[in-house]
Amino acid sequence: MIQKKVCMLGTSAVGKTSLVRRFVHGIFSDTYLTTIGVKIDKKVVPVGGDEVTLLLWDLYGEDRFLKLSERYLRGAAGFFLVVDGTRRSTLDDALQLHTRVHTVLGEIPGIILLNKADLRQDWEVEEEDIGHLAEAGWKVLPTSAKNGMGVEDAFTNLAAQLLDA
Amino acid sequence: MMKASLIVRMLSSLDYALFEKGYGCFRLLADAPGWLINLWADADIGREIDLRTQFLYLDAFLEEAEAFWAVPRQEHLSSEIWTETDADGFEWLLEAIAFKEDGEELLLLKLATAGQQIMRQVLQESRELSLEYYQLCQAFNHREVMLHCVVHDLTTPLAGIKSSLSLLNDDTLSKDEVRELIDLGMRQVEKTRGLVHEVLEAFASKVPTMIDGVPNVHQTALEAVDMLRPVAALRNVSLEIEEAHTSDWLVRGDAHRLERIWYNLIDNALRYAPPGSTVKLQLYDEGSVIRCSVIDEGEGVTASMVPLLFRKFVQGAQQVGKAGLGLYYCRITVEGWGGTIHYRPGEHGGACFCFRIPKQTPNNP
Ligand SMILES: Nc1nc2c(ncn2[C@@H]2O[C@H](COP(=O)(O)OP(=O)(O)O)[C@@H](O)[C@H]2O)c(=O)[nH]1
Ligand SMILES: [Mg+2]
Repeated sequence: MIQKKVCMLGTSAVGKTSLVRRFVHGIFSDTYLTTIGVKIDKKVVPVGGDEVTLLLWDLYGEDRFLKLSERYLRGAAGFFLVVDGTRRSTLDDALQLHTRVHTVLGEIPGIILLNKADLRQDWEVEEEDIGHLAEAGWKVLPTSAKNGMGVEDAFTNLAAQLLDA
Repeated sequence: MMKASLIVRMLSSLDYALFEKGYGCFRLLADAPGWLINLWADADIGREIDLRTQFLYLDAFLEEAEAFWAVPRQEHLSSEIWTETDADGFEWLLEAIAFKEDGEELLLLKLATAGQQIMRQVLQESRELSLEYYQLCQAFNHREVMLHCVVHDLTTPLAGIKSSLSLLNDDTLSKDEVRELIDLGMRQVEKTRGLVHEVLEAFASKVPTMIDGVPNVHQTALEAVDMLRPVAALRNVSLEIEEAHTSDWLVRGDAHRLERIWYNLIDNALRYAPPGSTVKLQLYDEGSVIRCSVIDEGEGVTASMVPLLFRKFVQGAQQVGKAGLGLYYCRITVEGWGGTIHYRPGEHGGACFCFRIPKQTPNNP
């Protein structure tokens, strides 16, 4: 059985924990409890005829209060860079975080998740921003941990990339 | 030996779990502390446990610990904090420490210290405050857009009053024509007063939308249509109201703003309606809500614009016309009353803007 470590990256309160809970346990909660250190969940994902076990490392959100420790990153095969669509600044934070992560992990598959798609009306991330990300070579997917939209797809998509890599 | 067993007991009462590395397994050297039993019911002194499968995080850390035990370069090696959830959903903050004494390879599992727990609380609170601050900024932004919107709308009736006054200057006007111009001017004055009232109301209250009065959604539609008849006539577009038979038109919200919503949607439709076409208003009683639609026979909205229609005016972003601002106003107002608004393509190609407002019922005040 192939196992792959996947890191959930992004600043605090963008929905990293909620995305994992939605994907692994099928639940969502509105209350916010900040993640400390890391919490690992796993789930077997079918890809084509194959299967891959994703070890999902839900990391604490890096922000001005706390920087991310390298220990949690090592050995990752792929990552999600999670952005809160309703807060434009979380996109800049994510990209900045990625440049640091890149020096530790090198070139590995990663997808940007524009989360809180259920609040699309209140998004501050513009079509134009999404265009720029695509131009820079990013795969960008909208998700909602709240209503489940795009979540399954996102994880399957990354799993497929990990098998190809 | 006595001393060693004492130390081992002390460790567990301090909530530490001390393991000794065996072949592929770890053996618990002391009584299991309570938290460990919560996570692993079979934990007991002397028991062997496959820590790697029990705690996924340790699978990665033990890799590093093996290297440390082979060649210890420092006194001990910490895993840093990780979180484990027990069967009741409680989250335990744990830390593993590898060290080597007299050639023994040891692993200590412990709960996060009081200091670390406090740090968690402080982090939690500071992050919540950051989020609240952000939301306040957004609410403030809402207000600003509203103000912008209303100020813009105040200038429209003023222009009407001005043109009525300048037309009155004409000596050749008949008595009836004069009366009509004065009447037109007075109506614009009334509209201005209404808007001013609305601004005062919005900025005096602490809550974003106030619910006062019981507006009649049908009546407000008629009033908005009346206001816009001259514009429609100028563009050679007819205005029609199609309503289901009900006498139950009382909804939540307030009449001024409801009329304004109609006004914005109809005004918008007239702008895109081709000459000779019809702009249709539909009102349906759906039980607990009234569904209201404004349908035109124009080009409709391009698919890529649809998600942007009801969004707030974002400075520096792509051009959002007057309609954009008006639709944003409609959305936050309707949603403030517990209603919804959306766009769909009309059946014959045009645009259809549709909003639903909860009825005013005794148990739905
Ligand atoms: N509306 C909405 N709220 C979400 C979504 N995902 C997360 N949240 C909320 O955002 C807050 C932070 O979520 P959390 O998963 O703890 O973020 P993390 O700090 O990145 O792990 C919580 O209050 C969640 O309920 C989403 O897709 N839609
Ligand atoms: Mg989290």
